[in-house]
Amino acid sequence: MPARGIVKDAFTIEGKYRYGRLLVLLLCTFGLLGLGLEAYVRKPEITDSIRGKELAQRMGCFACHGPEGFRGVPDPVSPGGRMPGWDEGMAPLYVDTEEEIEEWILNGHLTSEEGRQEELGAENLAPMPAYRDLIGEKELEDLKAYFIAVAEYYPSMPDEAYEGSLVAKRFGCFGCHGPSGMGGIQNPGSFTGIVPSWKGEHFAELVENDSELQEWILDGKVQRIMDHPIGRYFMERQIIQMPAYRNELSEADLQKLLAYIKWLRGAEAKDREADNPIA
Amino acid sequence: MKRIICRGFYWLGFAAFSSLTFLLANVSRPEGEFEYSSPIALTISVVKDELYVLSQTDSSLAIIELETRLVTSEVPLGRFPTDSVLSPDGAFLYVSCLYDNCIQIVDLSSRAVSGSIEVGFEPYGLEISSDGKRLYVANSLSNTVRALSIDTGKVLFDTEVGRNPRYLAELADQGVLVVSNGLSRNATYLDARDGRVLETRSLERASLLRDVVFAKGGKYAIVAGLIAHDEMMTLQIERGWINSNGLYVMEVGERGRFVTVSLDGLLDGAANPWGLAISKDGERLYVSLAGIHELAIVDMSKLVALVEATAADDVVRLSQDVEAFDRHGLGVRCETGGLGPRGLALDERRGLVYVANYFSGDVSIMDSKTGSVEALLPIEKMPAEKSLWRQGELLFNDARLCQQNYYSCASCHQEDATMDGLNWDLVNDGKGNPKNAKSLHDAMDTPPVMWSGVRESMFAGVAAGQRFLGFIPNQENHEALTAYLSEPPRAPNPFVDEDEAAQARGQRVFDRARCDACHFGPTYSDGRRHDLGLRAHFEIRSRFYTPSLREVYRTGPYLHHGFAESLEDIFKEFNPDNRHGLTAGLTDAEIADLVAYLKTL
Repeated sequence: MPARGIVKDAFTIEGKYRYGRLLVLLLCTFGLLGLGLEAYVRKPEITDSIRGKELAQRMGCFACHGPEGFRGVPDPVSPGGRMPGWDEGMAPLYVDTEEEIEEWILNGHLTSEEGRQEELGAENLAPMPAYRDLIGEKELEDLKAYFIAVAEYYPSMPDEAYEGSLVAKRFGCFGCHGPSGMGGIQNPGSFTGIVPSWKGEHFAELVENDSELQEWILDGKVQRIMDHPIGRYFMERQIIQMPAYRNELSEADLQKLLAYIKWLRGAEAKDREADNPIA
Repeated sequence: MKRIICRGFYWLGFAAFSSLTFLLANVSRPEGEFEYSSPIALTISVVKDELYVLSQTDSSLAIIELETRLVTSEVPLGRFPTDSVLSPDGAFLYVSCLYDNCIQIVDLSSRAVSGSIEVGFEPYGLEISSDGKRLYVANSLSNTVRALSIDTGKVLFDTEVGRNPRYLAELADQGVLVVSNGLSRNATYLDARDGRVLETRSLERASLLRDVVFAKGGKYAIVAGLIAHDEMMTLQIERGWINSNGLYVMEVGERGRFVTVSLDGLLDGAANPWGLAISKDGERLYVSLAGIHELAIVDMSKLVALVEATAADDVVRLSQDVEAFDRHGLGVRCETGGLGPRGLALDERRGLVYVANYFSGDVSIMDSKTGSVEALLPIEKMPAEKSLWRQGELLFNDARLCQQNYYSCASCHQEDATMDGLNWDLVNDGKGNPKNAKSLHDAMDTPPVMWSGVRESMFAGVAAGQRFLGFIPNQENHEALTAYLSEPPRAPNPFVDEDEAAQARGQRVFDRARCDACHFGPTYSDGRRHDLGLRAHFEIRSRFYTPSLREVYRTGPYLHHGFAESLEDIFKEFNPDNRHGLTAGLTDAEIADLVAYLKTL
């Protein structure tokens, strides 16, 4: 007597295949595969700084350092009148090296500044807590990445890239692309659901070369993606549409901005001009 | 017992440390450099027929008998004697001691210092009233002019004038005192009786103003100084388009009126005019040209005719005309035979003019009509072969290094290697973004050099400076200049002795505001660039290298664009977002304390 398997039971009837059911099975399989593939392809790129931002939110950092770490909240004891925000060039006043960023997070103060409070009085009404017991190594890296993005803590940033970062700030690029272009702002209806980062891997798919980067900035889109039916579908459907800067951005500013974005991605940028033998 | 011994060592150590810091605080040039004489000012006594020569670096007075031309005696003086005046009876000589902040009274019969009057910081020029009852002194660091009663030593007035007042002159019958301001492009007129400011006369492109005299019975006041074209990019040395040199002839009675007359020749600049003397008959004006080692003898009738013929519309054009001196036949220029001529004195009886040569350490005796050098009176006791440092100091002040002799390093950095307070567009970091000239005192150990760090080190900076003078760097000069700038001639800081409690409070403010994050000792600079949000609309970059804070008490105006007139302004007007330290919300008193501390650095 032949073994009676489920398949045999479910999909045969008296030795004959039940084609209808098999078709449904096939469709289901493909459907599931498709959904999985779509989820995989459309998975938002969560960089360390995006994770860091969420972590900072959970850890209560913004209670003192201000919304998303900006500006800081008023503090009657602080010499500057506010708790230090991470932006507005505050970083050099508090940290010198990346290790010092870690020290602040883990210990709530710098080893090199021990005794400072006794000598100079309290710097803040609510002292910085130590997060040593609350976070692990990976989380520390994430927090640090977010701080670096907000503080624009890039000690060796060349002049041209720095001026480009100011252009980015002035033209509101960081509004959608996040501080230092870290990405992560929600964009319903878009392909991945978030505005892409300038640093991650998705960038390379959206921007294949320099002229495409220019196209993005000047037109708010690139022709290659608009020519693609799926690309076009998502580009038109997303809620936040990249604006076209063609009429707003001067050529000089555009060049600085390009230099900045490319520098973020590891390219070289012009620094202090070399000695000019004439002048 | 142990504790007592420990305490003994502690006090011993403390004493050694404090004496060391005391010495350091007073160091103003390397060892051995104080032995050069550096004659700077001359005063002649008709009564005694003597010439008084002030030697600045070795701080002494040489008394020369004019008949025999011999040094009859020498009197040691307070640190850095700078200017002197004679009492009308010829019995006393009043000497301003730059670094002792006092006026010393030299009794000329006993040939010794008989008294001293404390005045403001860094007293420079002196003037005595015609009745011999008042002494006026320009306190060049306090930015005040003080009048003293000679009989009682009482302060009659102490009036704030422009920055770095250098010399002054009194017009007795009108009761007017005119003051040349070395760093504020103007001259101040004071009421000589009560010290009221009558007028601050803008002199437009004036820079590093020096001596001042009255001429034509007080109708004109004449100041010697540079004509600094900081409104231009520094692209052309020729025709004085960076610095030219001349006289500012001010009509005393007419508010605002002045005419600038260049002393340059088309191919031969008259670098760094310094001392002035005018003959009794008012026919000849003598101008020492410190950068080119010459004496200009100006025909006053021609100068006045030119000034009077210059309509208001032509003033600017004339100030740019480096051919005016020759074209109008205004006079002659002759070599003094020495180096670095500064102070002048006229011997009307013998028809001679004496010139103090700062760097060659002698006094030129020149014919007052022809300018021919009759003799050189040596004052210097040091060997003729100069130390490398001294060579550097000379080169720094020497416009022979410059194409067509229009300027020297000292034309923008003053004779002490600091700064002229002006914003210059040096083009080496892009065009159209002038920046405030920095003092060179702190350049050597705070690389890279310049606000935007275009020179990797001061070694490159000195080379670039030589190119700026129009020539390829010269190895010998480079070594001497580098030696000089490695140990720059620092003045003792008088603010160290001010209110110590305020300084201590100020240091706390400094540390609490986290100023020390970037301005930390010993250089008070982190050698990095920062964006303090101070970029002006014309600039092409936003980050500038942290300047050192040493000697910040004398290097104003402040910030890379020189927009902050005072240290207070930095915190009151230019730091709203705390980007330049956590100073928002500081009270005026706290800012005053902070400034008191900063001035001690």
